[in-house]
This record gives sequence, structure tokens and C-alpha cells, in this order.
Amino acid sequence: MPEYRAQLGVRLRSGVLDPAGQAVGHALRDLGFSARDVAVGKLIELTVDAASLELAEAEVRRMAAELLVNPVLEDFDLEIAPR
Amino acid sequence: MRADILVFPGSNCDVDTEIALREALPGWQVTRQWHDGADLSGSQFCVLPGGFAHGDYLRAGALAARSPAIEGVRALIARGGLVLGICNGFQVLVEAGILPGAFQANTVQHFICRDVALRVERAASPFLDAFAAGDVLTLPIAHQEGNYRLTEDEYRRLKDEGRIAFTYCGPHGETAGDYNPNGSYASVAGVLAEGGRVLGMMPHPERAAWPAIGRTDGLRILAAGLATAMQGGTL
Repeated sequence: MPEYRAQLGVRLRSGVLDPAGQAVGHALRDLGFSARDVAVGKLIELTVDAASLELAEAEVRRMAAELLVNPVLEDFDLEIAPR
Repeated sequence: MRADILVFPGSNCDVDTEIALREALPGWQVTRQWHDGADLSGSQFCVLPGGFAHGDYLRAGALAARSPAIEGVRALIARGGLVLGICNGFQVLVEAGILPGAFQANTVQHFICRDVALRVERAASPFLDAFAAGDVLTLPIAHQEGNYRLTEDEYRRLKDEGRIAFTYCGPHGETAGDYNPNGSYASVAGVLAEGGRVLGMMPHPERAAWPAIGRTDGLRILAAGLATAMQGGTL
């Protein structure tokens, strides 16, 4: 079975308060940088076995829906490619 | 009658909860059950305690909410049992979809550990039998991610259905002013599932169960659940 490597970039939806992003933004400005609109998200990488790229992507999207992403607060982008 | 405390790797309020339940529920069997292999089939009351279940990796409560032990919790709810999620246990119930909403980091961007005043919003729950709407309790909070998020629609629905249990308030029950410690939507500190037999709350009743420390409001919440469960006959 072919292997696929997926990367999910999980971020807070726009409009959702991001206390971590705010804290990091404050720290960057304290260091003299002009950073603003700082957002902190997470990157999840995983390998799946699937018969095709489409099936692999469908599987990873199910993982996102069932566990990896909280749709109330978060969005994600998915990159997936044969390994 | 049996009360079970479900213990996950990272739970850290389970022993306090056990001691408080023994005080609140004389004559009950009180056990702590490790999540893996937990059997709630003989239980009338399950508490999901505070802590950092599974390290709170991914999101607070997310991994515990998907563990097989939660199926036992769902079954207990289905047969009319009582379920109380305290702090991290509340986060688990929300991640499991048993209670609505989501949790974010406190708006103040740090861990908060202190007493807060809480107003009882609704007494139609076994857990709130000892109280009248408008009563003010004092319980401690201890959390980093206690910022409870609801959409306006979800909040309206909960309010209309009498499912807001507690809101953060001032010493005399006032909500005007800066009494919201963590940024929670509409200062909500605890909510009920339909029917009032499942309660999720961020404050810790088990840490306010001792006259010796000057706090007993938590004991009243835990003991009230007992009284109704005994009378209910459904258990």
C-alpha cells in the first residue's frame, strides 16, 4: 500500500481571540520588532497508508474532523503527497 | 450506591475528589477507576476530575474525550446517571460533545488560581438542589484554559433551556463590573446537559468541602447530587 505524508496547519479561525499570539506579539515588540497580528497555530505531520492520494486525503480529513481540529475555533490547511 | 471518579494519565484532583465525595456521600461506595478498563456499569454517579488528562496535548481534554472510557460515561448518562465534570473534566465533556462550546486560553494569558464568587443561575438540576437561583457561592478556580466559548445562539439556547448553572459574579451576585476571571462568554462558569443530570464547571467544588479551610459550598454541590439520585428511583 502506498504511503502518503500529510501536514495539517491548524490555526484559530479569524475573529477568535488568540491569547498566545497576543503574548508572543507583545514579546516581539518588547524586543524592538514591529510584528503585529501575530497568530500561534500548530503543525501536525503524519503518515498514512492508502490506495490512492484521494483516499489518503479523505482519511486525513476524517482525522481532522474526529480529533485533530476543533471546528468551533479552528481551521486547517492540508498538504499531502506520496512519501 | 456507587460514585466513580474516572482517572486519566495527568488527572491530579482525583484524590481530593474522592475524599470530598466520601464526606458528601456517606454510605456510598466511592472508587477511583483508571480510564483503561474502567467499568461504570454499576455506577450511579461519575466524576471527571480536574488535572491535565493525557497532558492536554492537542487541546485541553481532546484526547481523553475520545478514549473508550467516555463510552461508559455516555452509557451512564443514557440510563439516567449523574455526571460531573470539574475543570479539566468539564473540558473533556465539551470535547466529547456531551456539553456544548469550546475552551480557549484565559484572556489574561496566565494560569489563575484563586477563589471566585459564583451566582447560581438555575436550580433545576440534582447538583443544584441545595440552592436557589441567585445564591452566591465561593469556590476556587485553577486553570489556564478556562475561557469558555459559546456562540450567541448556543448561549441563548442554553439560557432559554435553563442550562446555565453558574456565572462568575461579584461578592453580592452582581455581574456588572470586572468579575469575569478568564474571558468566558457571558461569564458562564458551568453548564448543564439537557435534563440537568450532567454538569460541567470550571470551579473546583472538591477544594471547598472542608469547614477547616473555611469553605463548604463545594460539599453542598456534591451532596445535593446524592439526595436527588437517592430519591429519583431511576438509578
